[in-house]
Amino acid sequence: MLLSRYLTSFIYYNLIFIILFSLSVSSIESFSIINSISYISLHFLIIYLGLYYYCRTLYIIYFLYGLGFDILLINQIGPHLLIFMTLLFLFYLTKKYFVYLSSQRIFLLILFIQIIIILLEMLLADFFFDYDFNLDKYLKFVFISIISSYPIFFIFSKIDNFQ
Amino acid sequence: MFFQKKVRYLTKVKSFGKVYITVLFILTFLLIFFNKADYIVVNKIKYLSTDVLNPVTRFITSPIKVATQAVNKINEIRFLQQDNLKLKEEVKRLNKWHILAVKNQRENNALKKLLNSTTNNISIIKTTTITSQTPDIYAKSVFIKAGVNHGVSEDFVVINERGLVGKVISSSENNSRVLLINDQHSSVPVTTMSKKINAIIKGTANGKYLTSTFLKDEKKPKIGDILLTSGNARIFPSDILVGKVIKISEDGFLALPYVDFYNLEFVQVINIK
Repeated sequence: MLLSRYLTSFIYYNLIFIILFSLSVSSIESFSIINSISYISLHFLIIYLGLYYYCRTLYIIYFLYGLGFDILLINQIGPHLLIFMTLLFLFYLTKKYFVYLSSQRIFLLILFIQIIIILLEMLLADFFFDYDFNLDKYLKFVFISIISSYPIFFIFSKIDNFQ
Repeated sequence: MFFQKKVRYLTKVKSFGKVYITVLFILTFLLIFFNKADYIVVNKIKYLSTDVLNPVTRFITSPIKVATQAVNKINEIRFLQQDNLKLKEEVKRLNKWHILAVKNQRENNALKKLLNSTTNNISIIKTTTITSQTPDIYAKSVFIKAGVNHGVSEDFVVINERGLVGKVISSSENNSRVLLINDQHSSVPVTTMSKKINAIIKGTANGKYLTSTFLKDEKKPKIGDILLTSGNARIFPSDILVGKVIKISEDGFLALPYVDFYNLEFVQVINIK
């Protein structure tokens, strides 16, 4: 293919980013589960890219998506932007320790980080903007994260091979 | 010489990277601070982002939306015969109501003339469509295809054929964001049909119900009471249908909104005259 040499896995991930972002922020009335799955998948992608594709460009990408999420979902600026930026900085500080972990441990670690960042986002939205912490919604996100984690990582591993 | 230049270049690149990351972090904290302080610049960013992102997300999600509509259509066709029977019965029932409504309308007009009443205190600004709706994750809001260019501005009220939908919270040139009444941050002064009970309501965390945040003189409504806007604070015009009381608790009450927020299509932006 003519464009194949330009389409690296990082470009593919960015295309997926745009699609998942769009599906997360505009409601699909009769299939609202699509919104939740996209929101969860985008968070997985954020952690995955931060771990395996860390570069400075990611800061601006995370900044824009964090800002977009905050404005379109909450109409305020804070939780997503702060979490995404801090997460990337923490990966920068700690990524050397992840090298020694087995793939199974990395998988569990990503799942753990996912559950924590969604919790933090909801708590920050409660703390800053009085959006009550909804345990049902949080548990729904945790459940979707656990169910969808394996297929998502399988797809990610396939995309990694495009390089 | 060559190596010296290269080292200098690399140092520059490294320091640029550090500066760029630092600037982004400073910008992040400034945006959060300005947002809390309600600076105009943040509002401008919000309007701009909404105007830019909305068409893009709409375009990208359009195939999914078309697919879901197709699935819905197929389901509708499957149950066409049953729906047809239900509709026939409903038409019979509505015809009876129609006759009664026409009679009441005539009576109402005659009584209004007798009283020399001027109760129509609202002006219709624009009838428009919903361009997109935020998913049920945090805020409950919709975007409408009308903005400052159409005479729509902040605090204007949005209704549909069923009742009160929400309030305009931000307006750009051609789009506006409407905070739905089932959002936790909405605040609607309501009263019952008898006008004896006054309360303020907001949305619950799951967005399915409306809950009272304030009850005047601690007077509680009864289950089944119909809630209307009271017109207090002059943000919402009076006598617009809001919901029906379904549960009474020690702290207040719970109501079911009349508007189906998951099937909004056309809305009307109105303002108090």
